[in-house]
Amino acid sequence: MEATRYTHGIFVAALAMLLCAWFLDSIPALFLSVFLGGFLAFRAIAFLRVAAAAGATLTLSRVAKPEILRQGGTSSIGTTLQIGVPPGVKAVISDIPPSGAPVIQGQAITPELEPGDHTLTLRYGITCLSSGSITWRGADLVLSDPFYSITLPFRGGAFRHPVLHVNPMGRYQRREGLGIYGEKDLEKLTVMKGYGIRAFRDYITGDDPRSIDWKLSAKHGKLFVREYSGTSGKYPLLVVDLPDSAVPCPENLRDTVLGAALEAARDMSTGPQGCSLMIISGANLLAFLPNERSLQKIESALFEFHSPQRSVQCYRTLDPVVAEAIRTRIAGNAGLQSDFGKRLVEIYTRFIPEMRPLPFDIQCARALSRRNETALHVLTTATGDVSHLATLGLYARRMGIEASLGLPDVMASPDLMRTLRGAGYALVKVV
Amino acid sequence: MRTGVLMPFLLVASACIPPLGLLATPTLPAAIIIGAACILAGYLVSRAGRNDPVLFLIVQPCMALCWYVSPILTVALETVLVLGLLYSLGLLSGGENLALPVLFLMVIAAIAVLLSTLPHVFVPLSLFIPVAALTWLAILGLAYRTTAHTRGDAP
Repeated sequence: MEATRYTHGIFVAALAMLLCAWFLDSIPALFLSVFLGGFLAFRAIAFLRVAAAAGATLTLSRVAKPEILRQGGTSSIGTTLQIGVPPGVKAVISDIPPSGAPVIQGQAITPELEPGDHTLTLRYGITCLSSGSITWRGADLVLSDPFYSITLPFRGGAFRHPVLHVNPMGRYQRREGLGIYGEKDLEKLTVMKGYGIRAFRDYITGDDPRSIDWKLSAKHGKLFVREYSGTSGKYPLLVVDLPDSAVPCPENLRDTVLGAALEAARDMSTGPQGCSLMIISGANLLAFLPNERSLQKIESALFEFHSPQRSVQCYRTLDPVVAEAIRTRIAGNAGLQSDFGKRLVEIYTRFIPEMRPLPFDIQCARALSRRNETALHVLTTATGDVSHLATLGLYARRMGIEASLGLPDVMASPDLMRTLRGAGYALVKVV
Repeated sequence: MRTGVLMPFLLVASACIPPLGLLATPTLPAAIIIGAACILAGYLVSRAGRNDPVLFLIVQPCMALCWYVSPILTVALETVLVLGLLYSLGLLSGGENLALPVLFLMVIAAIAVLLSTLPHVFVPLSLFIPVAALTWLAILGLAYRTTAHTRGDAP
């Protein structure tokens, strides 16, 4: 509760009267001091009663269009407010938009409301700079009379609806070629039509009328049809590797990867094979959506596992095949048979028969062995251990699948890029 | 009467009453000077714009003089002034809004009666200060409760 200038003036007068009463031993001055001080107290109590009554009449309903949008997008908000302002009091209501979503259009605050019943609608636009599920912070009701003002904060659930789902914005580096799959035009006919025209020929009954080239037909006086070039493409398995929520990771890294994955998934889901998506966090398979055409399902899967906890860590896990290769190499090369080499060969000889592949290895093998899987594209934050990326790359190489990897620009250190290239990724791009 | 002229009218009336009550006393010149000064200050304030709380404050020295005429008259005039101020500010529109002002004025009347019987300020002053402190603490608590218990689970 704050006092106005009038209240300050009356308080100073009451204090002055009190001092007069003390120094001059004046009963009238004391009476006036008591009267003015009592008047301020009486007005404070009356104002607080009125404020509580006014606060109880406030209702708010908010409509946001759209409720699902991309980071940086604009949502139009309509907030309908109902309030009964008591006599002698003025009210101002502020709608408090979510954090990281400034008002860019219109105003989220009412004009000063005079006493009476009011129903009014605030229309404004916000731009969502932060991502995730964001809610309003509530509303503030500022009541004032000539002597006092008070701000009543409404922060309950009823004043925070609706929830805006803001998808992070990311940049997906397309593969080389025409489209998201890296398609290439072929100078031969295939089932899949390309974008280029390889030849013109006479119209034959049964040809698609849409392929008739009307300009050429008008020039020569007979019907010509376009013969499109064929197209060959790869249907990549998109792997999104999310960071461990137990380990600190900058939010923007996670959003960059999620945004890039969403952008890629949007394009892929409309393609002929849909989007094959695998969501992992380290060596933990979280979701696998083969040939998914529903963007909604893809988005829900990505947001459901937004902050996973890695129950399995595969730091320095040794693949049995790799271990066997190392053992054979050391055993067959006399130059490598130092004391350490001999001990290693002995240990490997004893333990390799008992080594079992991790569940993640089996999952990778199964996911990549699907028909039509001709490319692997991994999007990762590249934070912490990257052994699982090496496992994925290894399996892709074993199956003859072209593997590429995208990671945030800030994480693309030369050492890491070299490590990832060595892990079997032919193409390492930053997203 | 229009609300805009109510407080200037009450100010002039309140400034004129003490000199009339103090006609046969040595304080008459002081009462006339103070009354004239209040009317002049009220005129200047009214010319600048409607400012009823300031007029209410300007008239208080006249009330101090009025005490020497009669404490009951002072209470009566203060009652009229307070009700006039609240009415002109629109704070006295409903019947339920009358309860608190009436209670306040009754308490003030009782205090006035008590004070009029005392020759010195020491005892009432030593009582007034702790009572004022406790009252403001109670008001602060009420303000916190109002802020914290607004509908919508405010923090």
